[in-house]
Amino acid sequence: MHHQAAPLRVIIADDDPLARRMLRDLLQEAGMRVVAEAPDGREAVELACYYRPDVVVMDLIMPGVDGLAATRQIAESAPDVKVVILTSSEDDDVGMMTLYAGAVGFLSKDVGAEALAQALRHVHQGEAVISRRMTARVLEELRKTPRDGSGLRPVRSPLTSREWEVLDLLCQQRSTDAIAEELVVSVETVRSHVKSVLRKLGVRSRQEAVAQASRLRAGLPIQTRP
Amino acid sequence: MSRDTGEMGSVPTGQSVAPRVVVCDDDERLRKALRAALRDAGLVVIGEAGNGRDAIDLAAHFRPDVLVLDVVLEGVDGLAVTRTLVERVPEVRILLLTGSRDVDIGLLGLRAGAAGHLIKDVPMAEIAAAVHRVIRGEPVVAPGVTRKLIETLRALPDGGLGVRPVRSSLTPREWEVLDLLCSGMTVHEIADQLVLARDTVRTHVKRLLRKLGAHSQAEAIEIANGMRSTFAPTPTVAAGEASGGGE
Repeated sequence: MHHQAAPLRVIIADDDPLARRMLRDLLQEAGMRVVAEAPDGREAVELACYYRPDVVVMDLIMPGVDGLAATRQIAESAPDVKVVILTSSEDDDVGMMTLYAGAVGFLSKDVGAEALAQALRHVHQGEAVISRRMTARVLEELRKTPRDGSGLRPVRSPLTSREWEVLDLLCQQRSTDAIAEELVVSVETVRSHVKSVLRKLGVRSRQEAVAQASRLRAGLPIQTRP
Repeated sequence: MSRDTGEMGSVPTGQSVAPRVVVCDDDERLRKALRAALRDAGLVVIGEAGNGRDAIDLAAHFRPDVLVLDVVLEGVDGLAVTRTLVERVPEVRILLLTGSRDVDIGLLGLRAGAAGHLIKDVPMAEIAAAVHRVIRGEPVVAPGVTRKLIETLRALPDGGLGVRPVRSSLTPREWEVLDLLCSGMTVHEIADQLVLARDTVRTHVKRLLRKLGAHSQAEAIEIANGMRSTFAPTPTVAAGEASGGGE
């Protein structure tokens, strides 16, 4: 086989040694390099952090730290390492949980050798590999929520309740007049709150304030200008 | 300009109906090519539009199975067209076409309710195949976009710990106490965390229970999670991280 780039570096995590062996043979046949194998989630995380492979092929059900927890930990400690779940479960809810945990692929163990190798290559190129049904599910979840997470605010915040009410309405693209009407205050009061919000967030425009609001709701710190 | 080609695709009952498609793109050559490809794939183009207004009119009036819509139209916000149609005629499935530089618009369109999204430089036959998939109810997502969709989903506030509704009858302090209760802390631990006397915390708890109409801390926690989840994706999926009360 003619490789244009270095072979894909993979770690296999599965508590079944026979499954690991079969997977190793399969991947090596496809021109990939299995740099390490893990029998449980804890080692999967350790090895992933140490070897920094391109992909970890992760079984879900393992003793001790399971595949889901391991996926989360890898997403946190080694976010460049991509995790693909191999599972015998067809449960979409489980699949969604792995996506939330940071997996970029969720495949059935029945997937053929060629399809698996191709999937890992796609993942390495920055794509997510999930079934059409799960894609539909992701879209369904996305469409359920208000686009911007409006309506929510962090429990603790340098902004006052009133300031959050104004900011939340700004996030919904309301004008100053509309906000004044909604909150039953004067336009001057709204302007004063907006000024205060901009100052406290360290931004210069309403658009920037709206962007910061999204970050604050997601629990991220305010993004200061470079 | 829009044209009704006169082919309504309606046939006597009992026979299968060829899928009806409206095409909207301000590039006339592209429209022509698309029309030919769709026809070759067994689809019937019942109308063409060169601008957003006409697209809306055609779709609302003729209710095609699919509207193939170029998102970047002259002077019109293709996303606005998408949103309008998703609301007015939700049974019309929308397949968005974007240039390779406008992939993010496709993503927004999908979130707004479009059934599929493709990048324009794919072969016409692939667009036709995508129309068939959309009719079958399958999502059509361009390469790389699935990954972005998942990232967007993950970045949404999970309605879990640390957030609260903007408007609430509870005071900020009461929410702080409630949030810590949701995280599993005892009154003692909360008092330490917030540097308050235990009695003060108990008073806050009593008040928030009363305001929420809850008869126990456990009930209050359930109500809090319920409030948070009305604004965010179902917390059951993130059950591992959240307080575990989402089920």
